[in-house]
Amino acid sequence: MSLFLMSAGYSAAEDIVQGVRECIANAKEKLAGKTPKLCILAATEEHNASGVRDAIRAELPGVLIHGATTSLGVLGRNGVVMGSSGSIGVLLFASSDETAFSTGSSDFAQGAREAGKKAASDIVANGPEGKTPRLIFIAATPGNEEQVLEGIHQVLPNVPVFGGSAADHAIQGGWSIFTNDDVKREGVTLAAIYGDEIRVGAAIEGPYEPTNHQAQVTASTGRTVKSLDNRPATEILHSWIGDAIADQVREGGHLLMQTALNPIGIARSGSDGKPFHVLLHPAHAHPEGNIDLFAEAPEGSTVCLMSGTGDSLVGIVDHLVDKCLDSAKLTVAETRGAFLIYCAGCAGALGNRIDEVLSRLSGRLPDVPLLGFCTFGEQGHVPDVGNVHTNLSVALVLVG
Amino acid sequence: MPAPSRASHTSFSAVSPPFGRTTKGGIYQLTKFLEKKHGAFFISRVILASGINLRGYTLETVDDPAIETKFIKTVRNMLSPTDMAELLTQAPSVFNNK
Repeated sequence: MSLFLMSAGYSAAEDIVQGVRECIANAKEKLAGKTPKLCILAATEEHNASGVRDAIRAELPGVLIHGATTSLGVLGRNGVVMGSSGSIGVLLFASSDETAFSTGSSDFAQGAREAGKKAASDIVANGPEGKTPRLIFIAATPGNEEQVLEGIHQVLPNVPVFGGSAADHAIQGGWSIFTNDDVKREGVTLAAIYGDEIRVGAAIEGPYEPTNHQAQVTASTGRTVKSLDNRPATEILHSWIGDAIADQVREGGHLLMQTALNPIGIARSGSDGKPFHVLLHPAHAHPEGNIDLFAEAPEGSTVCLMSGTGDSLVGIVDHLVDKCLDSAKLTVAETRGAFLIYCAGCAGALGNRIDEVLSRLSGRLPDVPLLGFCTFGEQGHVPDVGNVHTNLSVALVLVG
Repeated sequence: MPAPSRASHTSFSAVSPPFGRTTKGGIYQLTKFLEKKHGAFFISRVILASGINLRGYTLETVDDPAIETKFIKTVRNMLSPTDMAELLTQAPSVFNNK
């Protein structure tokens, strides 16, 4: 008889070993004595990442490990888990032989595209022979996610990839990824799930609508936009958003909170009658007029100002639950676990209303184990578009 | 330059004393007060919004005026006027120059 179980545990304990033990003990309670095969791991930057991974390895010998640092805190069923010394969360997967898992990882020494290829090749080599993953979980350090996805696509085309970028709190590079072999400060880790009997529903969306403000990207390098409509990028953004960003435009500074309800977007074709907007979160303004983003804005593309509200940032989870259940033909009672990616910018802007997001999700999915990350970039599969890297978005994966 | 990337911005972690200033621990005390009242998640949000790595602050950290200004501007946008007024009573030295 086939078996598939998921369970989650969280801790805000000050001590790493104690925190990991609490997480694992809570999660194992619900695994009915079954040994997990995969552990998805979240931790905040306050904890030494190597220490966290070592403690997980000690508690779960032989279990595959995949994960990343999360900004702000760990997202759990009952709210944000965060203590003054940080927090840790795990999502464990146990199954009979019909369901399998594999992991892969790489640093960026040979470039991000090669890293994606190498990690995907690991997935194939470590997975069941001749089988294609149903879904791949991804966690990469911020900066090159588009190239990482291209590399994965070269090895595993048409496999949906869902996850989020590793994050710290201050955007100062305090992030890490947890691979099955080690901790990396720069790189990508993947975890694949295989099985014909499981049902997987996954969706990614941004809680925004396009406005009439549009401009062409007239100069950009990678993730830095220099000019829009041949004017300094900060000048255009200032004219769209107003004096909420006046200080940052003049002196330079973080824009994350101020633009969390008004990111910019680039329309891509979508399958359900309206375009899918890849969202670009303005992260930092420079006095000379450049804006750093968390995703690429190619020269010649048209960007538009997007608009959202606190209510749209909360309510999006209802839509995602419906999409995941519908696409997987899954009922709530059959759902064994949930994996949530919630943009750190959205969560920061929502403040304590993030608990509304989590209580709404828990209400829609009673008794379903949940682990969520606050990320610096979100990745997911969009029908008729493919796997995308986007910002200020929310992704949900339900498995049953 | 791809952005944001590791160490791509000015770091606002604990800093050396600015010339002519000797007050210490004010930002740390305010952080502790805010954490006690609003929780650790609130402090994470202040760090995200300001870029100031408040978890690295101690009672011995000198209160750099530029960082004080950034800190106060950030929390002012996140607190009600009542909460802000209450915060002001906790470390007057930080607010004296704001």
